[in-house]
Amino acid sequence: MVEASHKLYVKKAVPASAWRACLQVLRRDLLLSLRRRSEFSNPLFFYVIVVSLFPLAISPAPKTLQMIAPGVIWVAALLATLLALEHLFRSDYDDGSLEQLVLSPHPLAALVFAKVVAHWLVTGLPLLLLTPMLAMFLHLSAQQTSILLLTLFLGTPTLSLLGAVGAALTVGLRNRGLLLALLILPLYIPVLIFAVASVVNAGVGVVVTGQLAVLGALCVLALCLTPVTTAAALKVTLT
Amino acid sequence: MTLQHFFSMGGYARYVWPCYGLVIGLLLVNWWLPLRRKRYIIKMLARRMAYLDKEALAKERQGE
Amino acid sequence: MWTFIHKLGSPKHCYRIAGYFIPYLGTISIVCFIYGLVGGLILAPADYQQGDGFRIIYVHVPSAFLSLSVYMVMALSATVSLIWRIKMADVITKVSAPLGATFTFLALVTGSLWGKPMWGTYWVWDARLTSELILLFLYVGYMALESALEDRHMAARASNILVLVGVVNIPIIHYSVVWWNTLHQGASISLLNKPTIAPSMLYPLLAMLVAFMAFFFAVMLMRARCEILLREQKSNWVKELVQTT
Repeated sequence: MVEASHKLYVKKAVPASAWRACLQVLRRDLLLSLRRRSEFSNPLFFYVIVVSLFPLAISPAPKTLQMIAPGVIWVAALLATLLALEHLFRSDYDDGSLEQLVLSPHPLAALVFAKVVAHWLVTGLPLLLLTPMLAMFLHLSAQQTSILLLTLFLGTPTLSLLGAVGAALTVGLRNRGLLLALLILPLYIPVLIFAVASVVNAGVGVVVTGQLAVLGALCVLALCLTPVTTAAALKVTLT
Repeated sequence: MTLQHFFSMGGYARYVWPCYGLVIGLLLVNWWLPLRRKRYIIKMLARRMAYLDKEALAKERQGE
Repeated sequence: MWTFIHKLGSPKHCYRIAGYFIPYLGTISIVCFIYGLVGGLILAPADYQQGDGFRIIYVHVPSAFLSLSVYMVMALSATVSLIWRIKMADVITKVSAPLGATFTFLALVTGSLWGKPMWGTYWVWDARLTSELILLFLYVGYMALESALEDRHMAARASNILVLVGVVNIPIIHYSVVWWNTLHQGASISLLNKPTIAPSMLYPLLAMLVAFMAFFFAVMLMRARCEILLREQKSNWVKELVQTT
């Protein structure tokens, strides 16, 4: 009898479905990031500042800027994503809610995925919105800018997903920011190569659907594999 | 092949010999490090055990 | 057969079996290395195109080959450890990494020393060298994570996951680098661009490959023995071993 009532209790405590739990996580993370705006606006300022350093460091000549723009913007976006990723699990780890997440009866991979989506919505998306301004700074043509936005749209989710694995592996560490960079930056190389190449090729007038397809494929691959890996990593580092 | 030719490596001596030197040097270092480390570990464990033994002995005496 | 496999899981037997193999592997490595040196530096004729500079391949190719194979060994033992929780697999993954990094570094340096007379500069962003450089970064990342986590079990399992993530990414990185390379420059002469290679050139190369592999396994086992001693320092057999030496 006692056991039966206990079972009942457990059942009641569980929200109706994994899907709803994910939505809850998503909502919660979005709300929290509204409260802690600076955590997410700082990487964006970083992005803008880094990009505006290049004309000062190299040359303000429009030709040069146009040539280096895709690479500069992409490298800056990559670093900004990395910087933001440090916060993906940090506060949840500090206040213990990450452990609650791991202990919850729902598939951790799905919950982690929801967290990454929320994170991308507050970091990747604003980054995308800032990009046209930076593209203008660096004298990119409208057509190149649109391709650049497309590559960022396809590429930054991949970066966030891959980075989540690194963030999960380094979650309890003191100097995690630097370590995260060491672990994850080499893995970002394919995305960087294909994204920058498609923007550059678009500038020359070459068809870039192939590269964009590769970027999409990488994104899908990351979508399939990284939530599970991140969940496994969290289970390891939180024990 | 003359000895002279062997050492000059047909003009490539500047590149070939440092290459081989570096490879052999690094391989030897890699071989030597675990040997040294093993000696160190055994020495350290022996010292620690001797220390623990001494402590146990002292405790026994105190008990008496 | 099964008892043998079972014994492999026990640190004590691992330690003993490793100690049994090391002298043989060491001998094979030294013999093959000397044959490779003599064959490669003296017996093999100079290349008609690259002169005596081609003799660098006898150390470059084995290093490059091992740099990738060591990562595969690590991926294999990481998989074994994550699935079957065999502690010895963790040890192998951990101790292989510095060796793999060494081979990668050697492949890079020998490659660039070969590049100076052939390409005119020490460094060209050639697809093979670039992939090798990124591989070095992967090794560095692995070792950084492994040493940053203080709890040994957690460090082992977390870095195992990282190795598997890396192994999925290696082909992607490699092909993207190759594609990027063809985009930016035409094919340059590479260290291995010959369709046929004379036997007097080939045999020393094969001997060197064997020597490097035997070297890797010998040193890997030596390092693993040290690691086992440290991990099992509280067990009786280690205490006995320490007392007898």
